[in-house]
Amino acid sequence: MADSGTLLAFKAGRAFRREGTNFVDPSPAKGAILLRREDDLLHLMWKNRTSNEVEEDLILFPSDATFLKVSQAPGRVYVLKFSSSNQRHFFWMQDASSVRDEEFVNNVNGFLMDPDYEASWGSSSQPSTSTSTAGASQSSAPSNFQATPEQLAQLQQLLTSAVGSGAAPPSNVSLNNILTPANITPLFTSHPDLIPTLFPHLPPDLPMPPSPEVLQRIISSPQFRSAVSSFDQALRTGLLGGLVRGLGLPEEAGTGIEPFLRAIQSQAESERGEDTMDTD
Amino acid sequence: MSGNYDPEFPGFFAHQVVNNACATLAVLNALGNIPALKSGSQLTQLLEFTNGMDPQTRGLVITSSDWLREAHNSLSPPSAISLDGLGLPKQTEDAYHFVVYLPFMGFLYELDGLKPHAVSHGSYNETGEGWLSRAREVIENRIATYPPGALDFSLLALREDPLPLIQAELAELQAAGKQAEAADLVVKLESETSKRNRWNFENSLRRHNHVGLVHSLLVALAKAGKLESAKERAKGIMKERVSKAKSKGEAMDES
Repeated sequence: MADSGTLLAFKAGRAFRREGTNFVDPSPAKGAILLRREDDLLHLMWKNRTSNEVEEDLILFPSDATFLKVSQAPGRVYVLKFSSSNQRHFFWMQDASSVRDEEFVNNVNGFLMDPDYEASWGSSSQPSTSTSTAGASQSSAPSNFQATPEQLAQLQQLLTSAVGSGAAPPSNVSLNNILTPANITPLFTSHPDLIPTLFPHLPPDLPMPPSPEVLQRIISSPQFRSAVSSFDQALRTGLLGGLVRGLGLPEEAGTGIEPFLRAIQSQAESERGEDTMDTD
Repeated sequence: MSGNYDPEFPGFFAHQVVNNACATLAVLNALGNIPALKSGSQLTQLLEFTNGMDPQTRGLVITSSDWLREAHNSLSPPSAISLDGLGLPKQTEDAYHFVVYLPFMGFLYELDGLKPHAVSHGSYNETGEGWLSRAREVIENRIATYPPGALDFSLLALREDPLPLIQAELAELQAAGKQAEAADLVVKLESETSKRNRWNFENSLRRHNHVGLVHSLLVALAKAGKLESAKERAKGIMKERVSKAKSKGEAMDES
């Protein structure tokens, strides 16, 4: 063994359960999991690769713990589970490439079962490398020491429950107070050219032909107001990313009232630009 | 509770076993007690099938009726969005509860799908308005049990469709050359027709997915340069509402 007692090491970050909930929040700190044998005891350590400090040092007795993939979250999230207690430690793989994930995990579990386990490494015959310093393993492969913001955001989404996490901060604007007859009716006189753009969206089985008067009736109707209210409530859950794409808006527009309205403003401006771009 | 339970009620009475179905159930509890009702095969079969069943079983049979469920659901808005299972506060869940009042064998009955039995409100006088005046009394007393100013009451009447009758009578009068009476009926006919137009309008709104309209209205407002000001106004409305609610709360604390 090259190093004194380090059995294996790989880049990993930690994630923590939010108290009283089933949410787990990833920590962006760059780190590494190290398995070491010290005084005949197996240690699983988590080292911060930026500060070089060992911030977690767990002693593991044979078959006391397992290192498992978190199945509810797609992606490279793992949990160290103890049979002797309710302790759970969450980790996420930080190497840009996932090619060696399984290899690392199998070897971790091997040691957790039996400290005398002999690590096996894929095609390489070398013992595990020690990556104790941040700059140590600069390889030619485009391996990333940092978690990219995308990876972090993706992880956040994977680990946390849908409602609440992706939602924009609560808005004090209610769509019902924007789409009022008082706001809409003046459009009929000030911008009559905009009215026909609304007709395709009226019920197809209306018992009368579309007209500004019919539009006015619809907007004041309890059925329409109730629909606006439901849509408002749905938008506040932050989950309408998929739905708003169908309206030609970016996914971000489905995360709340404010983002939705901002996206509408942009959409209107770009469409208005097209309207005036007549060539001749 | 006013009136008395009548566990021996021999008419049609079904329990409500599904949420948000009380209006449909009330209609059925009414229809099931109309003697010689002219109904289509589906309803006839349903009523015959449940003959002699207890209220709970009747309720379950009704719930499992596919054609009835489809008819009931056909007037809800098509949900591109389902808010079920997210634990959000429900906006209108059985906001109203429907109860039927009807005459049966000389007595006024109240059929409430959430009560264990039909409720009898005693006999009524056949003269004048007959059972209607007793029903009015009972209903007014019930309304009086709510705080004054409460407006959450809705009264619907189940009646025979007058349109065919009006049309038939009109044809007769016109054939007999009675223009004056015919003119009166024409007015009635127009009133019935415009009612139906209004219902058709409302139903087409009920069945429609309004998301596209909401989106295009907002875009139209934005194109007209009016979205920002509408937003600011909306914020103001919310602020006002919140401060009103707060001051109401304070007023209550002082008393």
